Amino acid sequence: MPRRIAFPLSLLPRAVASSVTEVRLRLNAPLSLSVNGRNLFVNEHGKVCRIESALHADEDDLRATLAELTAYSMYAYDDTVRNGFIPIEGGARAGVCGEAVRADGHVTGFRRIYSINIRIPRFLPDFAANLAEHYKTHGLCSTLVLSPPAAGKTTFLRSIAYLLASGNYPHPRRVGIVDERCELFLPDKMCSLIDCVRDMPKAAGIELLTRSMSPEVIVCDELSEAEAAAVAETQNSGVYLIASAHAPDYAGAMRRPFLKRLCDNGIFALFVLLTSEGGYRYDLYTP
Amino acid sequence: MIFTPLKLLSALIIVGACFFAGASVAEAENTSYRQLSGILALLAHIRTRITYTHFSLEVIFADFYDDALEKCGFLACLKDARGGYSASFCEAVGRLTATGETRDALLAFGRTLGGVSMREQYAALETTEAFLQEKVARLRESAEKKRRSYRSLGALAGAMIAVILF
Repeated sequence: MPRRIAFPLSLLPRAVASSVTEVRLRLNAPLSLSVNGRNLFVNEHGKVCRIESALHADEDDLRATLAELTAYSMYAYDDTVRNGFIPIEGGARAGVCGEAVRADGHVTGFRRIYSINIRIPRFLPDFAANLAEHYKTHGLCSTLVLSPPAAGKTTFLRSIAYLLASGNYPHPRRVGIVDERCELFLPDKMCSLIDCVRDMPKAAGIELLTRSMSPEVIVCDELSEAEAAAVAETQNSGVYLIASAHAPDYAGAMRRPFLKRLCDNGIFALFVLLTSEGGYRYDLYTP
Repeated sequence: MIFTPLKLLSALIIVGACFFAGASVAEAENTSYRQLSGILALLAHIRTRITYTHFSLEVIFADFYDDALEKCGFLACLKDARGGYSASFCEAVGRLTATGETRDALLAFGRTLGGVSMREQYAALETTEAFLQEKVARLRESAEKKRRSYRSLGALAGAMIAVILF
């Protein structure tokens, strides 16, 4: 980020800085931070303040931030920018949105970027320990992690992938990660028996891992209708799937037709219900 | 008699020296041609790399070398991308002997470098390459003619000096 933005952020109190999960720059609008589910604003002195006194990002700030995020090589990020994100080295990700450019009905890019959302990945290795213990006691099964946005789904999946690959639940397992949006796998932190495909559509990634890497478990984030067939095929091949989907709870998930279809077909035997209210926590649910 | 071989040798040395002096002048005229040829090679290198890989400009430039561009300091300036490669390319253009519309074309390309989509970057590369190819062809022809002329003139001047002296 340009110095005008980066310097005040570097002055934030440690307690705030260590809890920031998102830094949001908006064109000619207040800069905001996501901290423990709340939106905080920062002034030019690095102090948390009211929205009226907050630092604003201008066009030059967004342009400079974008240039640094893309390593001054925007052409290399055509595919990801078209999908609204830029992967950052080390597992972080920047979401982008703005004025879209369309050709033949498809979005080919953005003429102008209005917002950049830099998501800071958290690695909490023991976050999913309860689920890992459940697998140790009852055996592995395909699991669907449900939660509203920004409740810790990605952090949870990261944790369970890490624990299964390197832990004693009851022994390290071969884990495949399909990291379509380049934010699930942290190469420097999550080693052990993990094979990862990044920046690849989930359906193709699931198929590739199943055929080429013989995983015992596949982990992927944000299931959608497009992956339904690949998910069913994985089940048929004996590979367990741990995936996430946006839904407030089990009932909410069943209101989404493709999730209902997958659940009715017995694909998922276990559900994890994540919530960020009163701190990040989760419950295991067997219908 | 004992001086005749010495006179002949001296005459040959004078002619040779003038010939090489003419050749050196001709070589200096080649600088523009060699620099623009180097820029063309750089653009082709960028185009090939971005077509077949998604490498960043840092990686692409680390992999490129050209004698003429290195000598004039263009490459060192380009690779020092503290403010981004667009700015460093435009600054590096100042190290070339290019002037007028050639310089303008290079600066126009530099302003797109690394800041636009693949399609736009490719289009900028193609436009600049087409422009430079024409310039380089004309410079090559002119440089060749000048090289022949200067060498001949040098040899002739040397012969005349030898005749006058001896």
